[in-house]
Amino acid sequence: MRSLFLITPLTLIGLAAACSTSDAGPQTTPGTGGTCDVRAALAAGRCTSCHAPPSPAGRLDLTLDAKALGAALLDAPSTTTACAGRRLVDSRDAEASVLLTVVDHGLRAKGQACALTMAPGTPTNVDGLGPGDLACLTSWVKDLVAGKGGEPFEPVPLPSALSKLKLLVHGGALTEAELSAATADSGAIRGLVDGWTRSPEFAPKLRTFLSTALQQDSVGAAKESLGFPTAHFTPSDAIRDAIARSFVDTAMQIVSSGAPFTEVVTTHRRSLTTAELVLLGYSDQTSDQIASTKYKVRIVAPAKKNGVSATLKKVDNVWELGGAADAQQLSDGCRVESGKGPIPDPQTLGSEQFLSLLFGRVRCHGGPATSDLKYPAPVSPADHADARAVTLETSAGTALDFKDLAALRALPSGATVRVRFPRPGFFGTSVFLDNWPTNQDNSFRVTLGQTLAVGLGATFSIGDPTPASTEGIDTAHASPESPCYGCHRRLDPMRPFFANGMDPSYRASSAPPKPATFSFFGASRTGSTADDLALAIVEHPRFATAWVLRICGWATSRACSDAEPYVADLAKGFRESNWDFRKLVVDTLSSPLVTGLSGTPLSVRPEVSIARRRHLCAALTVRLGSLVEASGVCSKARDALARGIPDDAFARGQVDLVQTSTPGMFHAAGLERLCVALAPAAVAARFPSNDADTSTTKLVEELMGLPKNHPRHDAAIAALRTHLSEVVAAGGTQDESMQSAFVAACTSPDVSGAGL
Amino acid sequence: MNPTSRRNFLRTALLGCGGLALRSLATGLSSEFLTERVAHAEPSGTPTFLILATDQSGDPLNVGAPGSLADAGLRARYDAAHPAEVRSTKLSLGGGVYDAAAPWGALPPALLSRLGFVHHRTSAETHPEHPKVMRVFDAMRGATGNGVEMLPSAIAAELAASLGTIQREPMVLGEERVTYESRFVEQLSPMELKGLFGGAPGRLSGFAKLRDKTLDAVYADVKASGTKAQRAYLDRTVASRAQAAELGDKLAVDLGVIPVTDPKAVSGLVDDYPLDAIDQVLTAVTLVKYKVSPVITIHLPFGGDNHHDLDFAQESLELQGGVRIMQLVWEKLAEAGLEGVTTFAMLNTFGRTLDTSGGRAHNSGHHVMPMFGPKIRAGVAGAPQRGAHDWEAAAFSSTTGRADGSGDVTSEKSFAAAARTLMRACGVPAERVDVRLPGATVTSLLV
Repeated sequence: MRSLFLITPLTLIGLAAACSTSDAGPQTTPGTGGTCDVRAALAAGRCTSCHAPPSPAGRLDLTLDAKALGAALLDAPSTTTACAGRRLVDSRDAEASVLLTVVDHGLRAKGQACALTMAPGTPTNVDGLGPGDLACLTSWVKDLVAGKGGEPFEPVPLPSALSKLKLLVHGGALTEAELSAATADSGAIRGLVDGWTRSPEFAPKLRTFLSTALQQDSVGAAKESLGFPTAHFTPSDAIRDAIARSFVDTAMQIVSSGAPFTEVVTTHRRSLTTAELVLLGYSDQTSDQIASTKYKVRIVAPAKKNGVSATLKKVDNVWELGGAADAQQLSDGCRVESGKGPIPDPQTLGSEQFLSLLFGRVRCHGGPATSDLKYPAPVSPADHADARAVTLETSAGTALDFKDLAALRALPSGATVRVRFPRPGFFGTSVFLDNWPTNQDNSFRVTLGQTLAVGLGATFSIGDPTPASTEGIDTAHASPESPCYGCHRRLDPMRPFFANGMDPSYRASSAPPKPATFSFFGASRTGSTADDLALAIVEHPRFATAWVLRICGWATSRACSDAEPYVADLAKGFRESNWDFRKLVVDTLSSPLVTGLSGTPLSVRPEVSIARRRHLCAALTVRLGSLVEASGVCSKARDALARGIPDDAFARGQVDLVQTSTPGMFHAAGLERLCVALAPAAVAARFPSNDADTSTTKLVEELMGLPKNHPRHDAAIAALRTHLSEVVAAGGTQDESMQSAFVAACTSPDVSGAGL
Repeated sequence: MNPTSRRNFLRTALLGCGGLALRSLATGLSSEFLTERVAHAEPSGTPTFLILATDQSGDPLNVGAPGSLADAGLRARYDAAHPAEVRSTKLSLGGGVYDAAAPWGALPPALLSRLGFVHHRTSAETHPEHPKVMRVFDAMRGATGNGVEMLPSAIAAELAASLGTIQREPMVLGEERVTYESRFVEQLSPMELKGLFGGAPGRLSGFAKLRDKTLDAVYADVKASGTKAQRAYLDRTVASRAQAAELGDKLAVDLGVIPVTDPKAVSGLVDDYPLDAIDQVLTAVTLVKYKVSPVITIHLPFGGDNHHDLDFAQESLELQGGVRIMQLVWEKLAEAGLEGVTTFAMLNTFGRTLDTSGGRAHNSGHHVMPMFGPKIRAGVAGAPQRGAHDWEAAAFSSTTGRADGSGDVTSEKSFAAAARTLMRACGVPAERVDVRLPGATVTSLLV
């Protein structure tokens, strides 16, 4: 046995042989009531061949005496990929203990286990612990957990659960009717959630979820992978916004139309602006083409005023750039290439400089790199805002010429665009590839890892029992003797899914194709293209579970585990609905998994979280109206006040969302500033100080979301009215008193938190 | 509401978590100390804050660190491949003389007298293993010796009480995320942090205490009969508001110096080194000054993921700049009178290869942790030795630091030894270090 605490690539060598059988070892007599010798059983199973000092595999020393071992294992979390969220010895349910499920084939057959077997590399444990040793280990675990079931499940109060659900999918304040309906019949909760997800308010919530869950938020350098390796040139925020928005538009359409959610992995549809079509056309060249192609460029007058797009047209094999803001400066003193000396006319540019020129970057002659001149680019602001739905195909459609702006602008909605290699789903997008740049050494491993993390909610594990291919393993990078081999034996054979279409610069590849093999947590498939990888993902038994867990994590602000109750049923329902994602959201959110209204001994205790930026801003926008947008506090600007509130994110190699859930002094400070900034406009527009009773009632019911039948309703109104008097007594004006009451309501945990 | 209930509530709150924040601020003792007297064993000697630089990309700092270039052939190849500014020189450190990249030799003597280096391995092969490295490759245990914890979080948890910090969790200023008891802690860039405070206080700020009182009244029912999770959240919220109100104005004043826009403002700074690193240093020192957190994590580029660093130009730039920034940490701590209570260290995902792939590949076998602070004795522990794939950390003696094939700190144990040494340097009691992370401590690097 190995790596119960974690999967570490160390000491993989020979584990299968070393840890696999007790046939040769001494047998112990299975005991009952803890009378058997667990150390002897583990030793007999040869588990301690690896899990022993001085360097116990997985840092798990199974040679400890039984008492110390029990203390180390009891309710300790497994940090393995395959067993995330489970406990090594689970005091809530002994048979859920990872210590048992990794070695007990019987438990695995019951569906209790995570996809981790000991010894590594063996699909079953038929060669594992002998029956006597296994009985001893089972007995010891059961004795260990006896009477230690932990705290009883504490259900969440109904109003708290309902407020949180509405915050998540709608953002609005809970109403009296909604609370009454759920109080009268808890079965009404599902109907309420269903209704909220059919409202217009659901769309922005879904959009932010999909953008992060599909890793389409733009966090990359927006440099080399987009085609801009040029130093000191940062593509505009418009490009970032466009590439981040592109596939989310498509995913939103998939969900809203009720199409199978599997299409977010397989679809060839995109919503692309002209600017993105330029970048797509550029990256559809091979790296050799990009390196060898030169462009003659001449900067021509006349000058036009700022804000007017430059023009670019080809005249006698020379590209003429005109209409720049300061064409005189451009023609007199600037050139695209660095270096000194006379400026030739026309200049000869490489591909990268030419692309930069299209987007408005020219380096001034003789000056430092930072003297780049920005000017209205041929790719105009309108080209960043003219998204239309197109289909990318490798065998048909209009070929892209990235230089032909007029033709790209003219591409109609519904057009088919011909590209040289498949770019299916979320993992073929410009923003995804920009977020996860690869290189010759990495050779698409990061791309694959992130693709599987999104699609299947899992990463590579040496304990994965799926038989792996021996073809395509980069033995120079990870020889069978190296510690890396455990994961590379699955990872490397998958690389051709990407490498057959593109090179590590994410440009078209001209290399001959190689066979690709997918073997991952119980499913195997061969193929050669990114489309084949997409099919492997959506046909994988884990696809449904992954998205249940992702919604659960988003809603509960924690990593959810497939060991938890209700997860399997939800995944089954997702499959049977023909992958109806909106229904999955409704089912998952109205399940006890998220509501916390009830639970089993294996349920995770519901926690209260801060309302992260996306939820807070959505709630304020829905509850306060247009004044929020007008204030700019929730804008995308780098100095927007909401930036002080943590938001959901993703990270390299992380399957779960990165979420800050606990309040702290910086969260409190950010919240205070945001609410203070909103107060004058909010009071003026929604909560007039000259009608204090009505305004305080509205603050409680419409902003805090406490309807008349909520247990805190009356206390909140009384407290706010008292507050008005106290502020006036302290020297404040009537308006200031209402503004301060607004800030109190706005910063209250009912607005700034989720689950109170 | 009964007029006395507010007073009663506050009294209750003062005995609960919310009031603890106020008491903590008043007494200088942490809320953990106030509730549990001593959460863990008292540190022996003065505990220190920790500023920990970390970089997921895995920097080539190890390649030219003191002790890495002892092999003549390796040194010759290093000098031939690297720009003149970072070629090797002789560096006197703690009574020994070491070959090291030239920038290390430019550090002031006072800093060199408190600067130690541990050659160790992280065992990480890939960038996504950064969180695992922060957990000392999953060897760092939780407070009870069970589960896992990140190194900065373990140090923070052990020292928050005795340092009297406002929060127990690390404060994250850099890009690399940190978990505390498995939960992500808030990450704020210096400018985002600055944006939370400052500006002319409006009239509404004068009524903040009244708002606190109002919210106490609104949530009295939760305090009385909410679920355990709800009560915990409410306590935490109350405490956070008090902390923010107490420190906001002070932080606003001190953070007025950022963003640094002119590198000349920092003497000797290398052109083109990211100015954000300076902002992080200045912010980290400010957070130490106000005892916000026991551990502040920052991101200092030292060459980065150098697969395509032609002629090692980036490495040269960032090695010079990074060492200068370390000096800036030292200088700013001294200016604030904090050099005696603050330790600095660096931990990245891995080092780079010294030979293989021209020095541009990940090296799970070798990484160097530099550290300086009041309890650090200058010197070098360990050294690289040629391994199967590239140079890797050799075994060394924990008492002398000398690389020695029979040393008690084997290559496999070297990471834990480096982490333990840092914990001890920060003042974590030995018995607590043993609970968290069994192994050897490099006593040769400790005062």
